Amino acid sequence: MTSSKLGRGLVVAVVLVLPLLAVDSRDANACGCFTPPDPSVPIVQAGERILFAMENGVVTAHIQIQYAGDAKDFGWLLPLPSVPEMELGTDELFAALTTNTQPKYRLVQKYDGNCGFNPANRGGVLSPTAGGTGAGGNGAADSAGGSPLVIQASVGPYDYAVLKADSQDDMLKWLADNRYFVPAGTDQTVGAYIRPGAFFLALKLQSGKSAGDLQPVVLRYPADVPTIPIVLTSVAAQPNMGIQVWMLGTGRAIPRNYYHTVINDMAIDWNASGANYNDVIIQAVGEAPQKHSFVTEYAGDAAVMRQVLNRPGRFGTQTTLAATTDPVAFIQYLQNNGFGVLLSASQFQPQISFTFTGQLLAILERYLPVPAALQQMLAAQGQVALTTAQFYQSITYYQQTYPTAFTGWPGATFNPSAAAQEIFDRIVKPTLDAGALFDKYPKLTRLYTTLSPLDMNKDPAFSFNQDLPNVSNVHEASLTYYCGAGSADRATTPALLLTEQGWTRYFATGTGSSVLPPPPIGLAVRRLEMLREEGAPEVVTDNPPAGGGGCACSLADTNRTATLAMAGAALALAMLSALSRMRRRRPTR
Amino acid sequence: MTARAWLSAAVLAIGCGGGVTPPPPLPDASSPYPVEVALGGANTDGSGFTTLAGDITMVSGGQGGFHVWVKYRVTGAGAERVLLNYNARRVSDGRLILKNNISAELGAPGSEGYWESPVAIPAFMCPSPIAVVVQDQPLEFQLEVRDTDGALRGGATATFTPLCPTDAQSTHCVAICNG
Repeated sequence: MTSSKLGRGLVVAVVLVLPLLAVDSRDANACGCFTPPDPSVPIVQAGERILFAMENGVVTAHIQIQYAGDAKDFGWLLPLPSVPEMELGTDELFAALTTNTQPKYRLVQKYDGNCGFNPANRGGVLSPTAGGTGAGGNGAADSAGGSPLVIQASVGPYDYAVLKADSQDDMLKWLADNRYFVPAGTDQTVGAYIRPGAFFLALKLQSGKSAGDLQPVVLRYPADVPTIPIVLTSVAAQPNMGIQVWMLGTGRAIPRNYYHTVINDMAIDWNASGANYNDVIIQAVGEAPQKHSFVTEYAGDAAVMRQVLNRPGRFGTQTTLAATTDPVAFIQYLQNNGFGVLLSASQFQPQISFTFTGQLLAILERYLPVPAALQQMLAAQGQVALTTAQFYQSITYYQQTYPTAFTGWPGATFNPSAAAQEIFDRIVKPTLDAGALFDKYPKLTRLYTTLSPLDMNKDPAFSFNQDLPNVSNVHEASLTYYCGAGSADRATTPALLLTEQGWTRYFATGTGSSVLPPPPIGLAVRRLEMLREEGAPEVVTDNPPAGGGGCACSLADTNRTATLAMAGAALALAMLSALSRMRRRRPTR
Repeated sequence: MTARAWLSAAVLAIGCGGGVTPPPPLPDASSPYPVEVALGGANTDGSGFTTLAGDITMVSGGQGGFHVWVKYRVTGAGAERVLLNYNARRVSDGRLILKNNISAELGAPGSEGYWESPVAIPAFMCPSPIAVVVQDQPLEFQLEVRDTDGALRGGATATFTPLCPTDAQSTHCVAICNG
């Protein structure tokens, strides 16, 4: 395999382990899109999303693959301890997991005394940025001189091969000969996974398939613990790459060989619903030895995902869909039977929309493409071209408004039976199977970290600890205004922020023009711990709120001086305020 | 030793978090079907039934980790489904290295009088738990056989010292087996 050969040919995206690829973070949204770079340049990988379920010595891994280059340039490689069973997965699983376990930071504003700006007094409703009550949250032969090939087959949109990992040279040669790309640098990192009895899974898109056809894969393989071969990923990663792991099991999941970080919630921008969350995570895990640490974002009942994907009656029946010969009625059947899904644009700022998934769109596009006549009519009217999602979402409107554009559409190409078969094989079954996982396991854990390529030198492994408590994904802080006998100006009213962890930040002269100034620059770590498979966490570093719930003394607060001086004043003000209320009430007795 | 002395020794041992070697698991007194369990190792490819004691060279797994093959023989059971609970602890301080619960289908005993697991369990050692050294550390491996309702039928323990291989994997093994 030579560079020049790779340069001309396929290449380019090998997503070693799983991946949401993106060269430009602006494109790293719902699809983690990216354009394949020169093969000599490391592939930029924006993040990884994976769901592990452990049962009886068998790992089930749902792995999300996101990519947006030319289909011929897509390739994917994963080391495995045994020959896996492989099925198709669904992006909807990850969208639903993200939404339902999303960390949420809410600021609740309280009013002590006679606050003229209290919405309850004025009947006003304020937006979060303008001072509202509750900002809301965002919620997978023979090597002795022979071929290493064990299995070569197809599933859904993919051609795949399982190769013996006995010989690095044999494996890489086979991949090159068969147009599976391995990016530059892989030969230096793949060594740790080359050994007798091990395997590699390689994927590529079938000829004629588009990047929109990419969908998650589900792998099952015997293993004692689930691990992510992150060392191999390092050749295709970007700085501070997000790694999102969900674990299903009978207890709370733990990072076995990584530290565990509890972030300092005083570092959170409560007023912006935790918009700086990822920055806090990057800083916090960066403070762990070797920057190897995970944060638990949610640990609790798997019920949060029950009947989300597999609610009763969803999807209707394949028989009915296959018998729907009218193309518009075919789309309407999909719309009316739960094929539209909520998709989130990113893990931290979900952009909620109700639409068909990329996989469904890719299938429909082949059977029911947007009528060319319709696009021409819209263009003649100066309108931009319709996307497939827009077309299917409003197909009734377009048919009624531009009936002539639908004359003869879609022609002889529409085969409802074949379309229904493909939709049920590629969409319905994987979705229902994924949904059934949450009926089977009692506990769901969401872990997150960020890693830069240089720090990807130890593969994280995961396990469980049934002794650990749940972790809520919903967090709340309060901002109390001390208005005393009367205050009409929020900006100058003394106020106290109290976080969930007990940090306080006092604004003696008010919070100024904003509801809450940005968080102080300081510690991002509340606790650095080591989690074991039994017992309580072993604390490495503990940064408790000073005074057992007092001021934010350890933080470089812009109001630090005031904080120190006025911590006691908050209590005094509260007492004064209470006294004031008592005085006002007396006449009414 | 008086009861107080036993208690004091126990408290000291627990307090120090080390040096405690749990006794081999015994069947519940109420268990009507006790079994005898024998532990063994396996060859590099998982075959055979070797001695699980002394120095054991760890085997590399497919995803970059290292494990010790463990096999077991059960005497006194028929063809039935059971639960297997197993763990490994460092002898020096009782530190938990691995813990797992799986179900298994036992077969009918052969002419030797016992049934032997056809497939070895890959007792996962490395990457070792964070900040815990596994390499060259004597470990006690414990296996319990329980009914599907959880009643203990029997168990066994074995003590061995996992070593990193001396081949090309040596450096990688040392790197991930020392916490």
